Amino acid sequence: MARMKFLCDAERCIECNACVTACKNEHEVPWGINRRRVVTLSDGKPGERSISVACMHCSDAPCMAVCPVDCFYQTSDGIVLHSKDLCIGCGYCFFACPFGAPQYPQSGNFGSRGKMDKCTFCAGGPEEDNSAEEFQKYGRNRIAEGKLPICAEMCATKALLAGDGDIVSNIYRERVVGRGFGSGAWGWGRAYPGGASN
Amino acid sequence: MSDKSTTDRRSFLKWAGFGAAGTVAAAASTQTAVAETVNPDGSARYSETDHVKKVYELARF
Repeated sequence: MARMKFLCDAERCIECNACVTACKNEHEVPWGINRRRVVTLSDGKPGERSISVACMHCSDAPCMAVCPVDCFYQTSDGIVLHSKDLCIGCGYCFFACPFGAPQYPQSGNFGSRGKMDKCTFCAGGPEEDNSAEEFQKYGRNRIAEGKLPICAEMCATKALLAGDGDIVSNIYRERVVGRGFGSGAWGWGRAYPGGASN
Repeated sequence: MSDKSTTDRRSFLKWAGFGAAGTVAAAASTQTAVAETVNPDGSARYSETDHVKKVYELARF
């Protein structure tokens, strides 16, 4: 059984934020909510890296564990989804999530929260596949259309990978072997003909 | 005459009560129906279509 996973190759991510934009556009996500965002580490310093982060569809998801109304469920291919009909917008899942994935729309003028919204791995929700109700609540269901998440599909440098965890990790492994690391990296000998150490 | 009008009012209230109870029951059954439609089955949604295979192929560079 395939298990769906995201993997961001930090060596390739160029912080273009196209994944963020594509996600918002595909699912018509309301103002103030970002299901995906790009985080940059050591910004402006040597060794700067960017990674695209959203719900990682954890195997043992902490959001599922803490939800008081049990609105989360996991499909047999590992996608963590939730029901907005059951969600009470309490925010427990936000505190539990190590990636800050759950998002809340503002529902009133006094800071009250609406129903939680998060990345669905482009797999919709509990409503009928590709129905208008599903789209309105959770966005497009690309998985049911036989596709993969839009963020990964349109990534220009293919830094963001999504799909069957076995296949995705194999692709990443091939890349790591191909490009090497440190003095074994491609082009290292040309850049440092004297044989500089790492 | 007075007795008849009293009976009419009572029968009206009785039937009105039945009507209200029926409305509440109908609303409850509708609520149950809504709850059933959002019951997730958790079945697998992913399938390795030609489109998906092409995406994997394009990522191998």
